[in-house]
Amino acid sequence: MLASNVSLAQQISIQVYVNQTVPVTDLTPAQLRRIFTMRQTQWPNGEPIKVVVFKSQDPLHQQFAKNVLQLFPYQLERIWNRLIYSGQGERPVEVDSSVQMQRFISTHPGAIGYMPVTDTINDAHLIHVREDK
Amino acid sequence: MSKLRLALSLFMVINMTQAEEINWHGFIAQGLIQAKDSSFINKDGDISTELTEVGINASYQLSPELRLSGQAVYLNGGNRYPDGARLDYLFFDWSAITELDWQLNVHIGRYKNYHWLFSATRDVPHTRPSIILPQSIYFDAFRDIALGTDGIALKGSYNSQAGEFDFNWSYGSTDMPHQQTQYLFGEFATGQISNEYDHKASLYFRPLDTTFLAGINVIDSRFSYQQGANDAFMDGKASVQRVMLHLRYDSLNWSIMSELMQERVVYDQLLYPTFHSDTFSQGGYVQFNYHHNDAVQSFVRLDMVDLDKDNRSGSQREQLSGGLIPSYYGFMDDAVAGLHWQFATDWKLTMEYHKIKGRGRLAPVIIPDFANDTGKYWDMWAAQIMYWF
Repeated sequence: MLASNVSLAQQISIQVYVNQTVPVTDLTPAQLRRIFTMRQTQWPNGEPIKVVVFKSQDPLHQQFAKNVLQLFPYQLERIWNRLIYSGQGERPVEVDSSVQMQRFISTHPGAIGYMPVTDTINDAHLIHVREDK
Repeated sequence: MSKLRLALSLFMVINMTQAEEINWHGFIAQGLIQAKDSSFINKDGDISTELTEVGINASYQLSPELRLSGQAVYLNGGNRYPDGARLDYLFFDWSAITELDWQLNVHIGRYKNYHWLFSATRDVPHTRPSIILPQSIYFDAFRDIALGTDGIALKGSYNSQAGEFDFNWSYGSTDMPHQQTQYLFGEFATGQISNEYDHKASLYFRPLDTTFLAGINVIDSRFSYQQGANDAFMDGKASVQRVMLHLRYDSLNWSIMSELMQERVVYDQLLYPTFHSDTFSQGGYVQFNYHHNDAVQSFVRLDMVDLDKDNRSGSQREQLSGGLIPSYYGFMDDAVAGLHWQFATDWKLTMEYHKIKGRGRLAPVIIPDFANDTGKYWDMWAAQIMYWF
């Protein structure tokens, strides 16, 4: 079992950001899981979701997968591969640096990504990660 | 093949008009394999290169709600299934409901089998748990029947207070070439099998805050056989009904997975006018993977199938055939050990060894090649290198 919800807030040193066009202010880990496993492809207003992540080997990505999505990174890879090679979806856009992450989220309508708490993105919305229902 | 050409033409047209909107992916894999005392791969039992899988896929977002997606593959698995190119899938994907806690997609066209743990990507080597999949569930002679159905599929998911639910439903039929008939019936069959319909439904549940996944799947398929010229078989019908359970648990350093099935197969006529056969087979596997690090995993698996749950030794079939078909054609148990090594990004090597008792999962199915495939025990090894993009 992965991190419980009780300790989730303490463990997260990562914040989730969306582009300013996205009409959502808070998401549960289950909803984030649907989005980052590429099964949720549109925001409620119909705008396509553009998911951006750091590369799988990046410690921040591994922490995000385990502590926020409550998935091991190898599970995420498995789910993305299943979607890609059975025609059901695409893998997320991958970036190498915080600068690229910031730029992608702020310039792509519908984008969602994550950053360390030490960094902020001024021209993007911060998502409050609330506990599952 | 005409459908394959149509699909490739369609992608080329789309590619020329909207190249920047297309997503491309593919894979290529080549291996060596040997099943010395069995015709599972080839008749002579020599080391074989008939372990080739190549695929290319593309998807195009026509609108926010509508996507077109297709994949063509070339497969060569020796005697396991007919070799050659196939249109693996080509379907429209309509996002009908896209709420944050509730989604529904409708697929129309040729879609994959979404219902089992590995069926959607069984030909994509780097996504598989092993080179040769557990034959109790993923019987290679049925590969073309289990996949690539033309029809309609629904995929839904729902987040609840208890956890996440995924459900799948599909209805359609599978195009079966004559070569497939001979794989199932043997070389004396000159007629043609048709799949009248294939109906599947599955439900998966992941409890909240866990990495445990459980699923159930039911299948109902009907087939007919039309006699050919100088045919050893006559017109007949067959039906297949399956119930399956799917389980998986993932931990940081290890995973365990299992799929279990009971299958009822009914044959009518086919051999002679009053012929009727109604049997229940049972089988399944358990696989344990240990993750040594991000690049290396080792695995062990036990896979077992009995073709008649009321006569697990196969003795009844031996008696009915007048001793021609040995009892060890009534079951197949396979113990496997292997290793996955992802030695570079997008590159992987898999090696495995199988020790097998019984011959119940060899093609052809109806009348096995009992003259050449003899002996209760046999073994097999395989090594395959794979690249994907």
